[in-house]
Amino acid sequence: MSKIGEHEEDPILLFSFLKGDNNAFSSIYNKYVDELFAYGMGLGFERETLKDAIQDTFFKFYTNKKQLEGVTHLKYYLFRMLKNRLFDIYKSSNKENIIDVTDLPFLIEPSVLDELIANEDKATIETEIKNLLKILTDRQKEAVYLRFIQELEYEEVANLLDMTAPAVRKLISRAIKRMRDENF
Amino acid sequence: MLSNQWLQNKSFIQWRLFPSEEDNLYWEKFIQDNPHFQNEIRILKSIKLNTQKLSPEEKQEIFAFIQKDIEKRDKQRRFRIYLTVSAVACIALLLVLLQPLFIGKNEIPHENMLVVADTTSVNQKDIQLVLANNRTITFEEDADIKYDKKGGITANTGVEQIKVSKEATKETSLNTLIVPKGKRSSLTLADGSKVWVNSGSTLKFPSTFKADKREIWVDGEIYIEVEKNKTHPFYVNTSHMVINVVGTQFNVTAYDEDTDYSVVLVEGCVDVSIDKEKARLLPNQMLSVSTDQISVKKIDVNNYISWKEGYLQFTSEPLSNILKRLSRYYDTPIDCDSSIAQLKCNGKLVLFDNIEDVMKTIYNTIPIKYSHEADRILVRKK
Repeated sequence: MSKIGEHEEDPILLFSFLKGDNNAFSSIYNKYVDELFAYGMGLGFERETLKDAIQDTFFKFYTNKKQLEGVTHLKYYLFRMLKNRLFDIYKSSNKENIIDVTDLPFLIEPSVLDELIANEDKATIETEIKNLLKILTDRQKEAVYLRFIQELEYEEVANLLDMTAPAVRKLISRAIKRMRDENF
Repeated sequence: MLSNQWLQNKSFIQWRLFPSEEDNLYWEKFIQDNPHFQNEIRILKSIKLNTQKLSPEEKQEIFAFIQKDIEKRDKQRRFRIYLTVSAVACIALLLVLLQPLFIGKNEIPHENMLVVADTTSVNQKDIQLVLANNRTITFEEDADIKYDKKGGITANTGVEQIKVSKEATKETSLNTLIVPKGKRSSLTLADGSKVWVNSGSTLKFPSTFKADKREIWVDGEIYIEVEKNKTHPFYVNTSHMVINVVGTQFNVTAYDEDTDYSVVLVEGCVDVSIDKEKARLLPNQMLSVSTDQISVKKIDVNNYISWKEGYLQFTSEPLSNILKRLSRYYDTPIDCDSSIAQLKCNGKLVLFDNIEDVMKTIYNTIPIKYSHEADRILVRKK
């Protein structure tokens, strides 16, 4: 596991980027573009829309260096920028309705990556997981995804969901309890 | 039908995906105690959520688009900077052109505004440029002085122009520009860097810079736009600080007589050294030292550099600080009643030709009154 190493690398990348190192900028892009793409897919956006939003996000990231001065967690900051951009796109395509961040759907697609398993078994497991997740609300899905899969802090998940940190803790513990109750 | 029922163990799957602390103990022990489930555990551990990825081609394409956007912006930006600079140049020119008109109204025009004199017979009220060979040139009016690459000097007061060809002295020996209270000057150094020198300041600089580094010495307040040159670092020295620059615009306030001093960065990047401490400043930051406490904070740069454009701008600035600056600018002592010294002021104050007009503006906007007493101005609560 190189998780700790990755976290230590980010402040250095950010520092070099702010000093004008363009290699640091492309490193940041290559490091996070897939995770941002996956998050955007989770929020139910089309592939092409998402590609545009990612382009806008990194352009804004590059040109608003001033705003990056106090940034401590690079990954969370990029997630937040992308979500804001996606929400703006969503709003402009739904002009007639009054909408809120909490209106966005959240989809979770499971996949079994092990290559030795039979395709049939693979499909069965994936369906099982989908059924397991079906009982969660969109917000619960997004919260557990950000917390456990993307490993963001409760405070950061809360900001992305426009909620307070205690409310997110409650939301997640309810989600886990619900899945557990369903299993037995 | 699944070949192995255990692969459907939902609680194990749930723990794999969303591990809660209470489940950790149970499943970690389970894995240890059940080595025969090894294969199943490996398979379930490989479950990932939302693994959608962009193709390498798509990633490259998006990155190329981002770079194109950045290039486009940089081009527009260069254009914008060019526009602002020329706008400033126009304003400066206008002032220079109008100046003789104002002077003409109030006093008899001087025939020779520029006097070449010995250091001994210098009027303390005049701007003095002391050359490396100790020859002194004085200006009665605010001057714009230019050193060319070879060390030749051109000075302009708006009334007359003076040219001094290169002096037969060592190239790097120091010149001194003394700008007394009530006067301002601007100076272009041999490398093309431009310095605005505020009232009551002294600047020491060489006619041409050394081969390895560019260095100037300041007592007072300057605003400087340093020409970019990575191979020749630029240093601004004050009695307490050394500021190391690559190419940038910033303001330094460091009067020897004051215990407080500061550096404000407009653009670029500078390193400030104070004794053994070192700090890096980013644009829109101010480093200030007050009673030996060093602090760096975010500020509106206009509040600190507007003096070079002929006005002062404040955001909740104590009245006493504003009066102190005016006193220096117009060379008139101003006493302020302690009950209003801390009054916070906002807004812009145009630096008119005489202090009376400035005091009137203040009188009309905040609850104070003022009176003249001998050569001093007294400011009290209304």
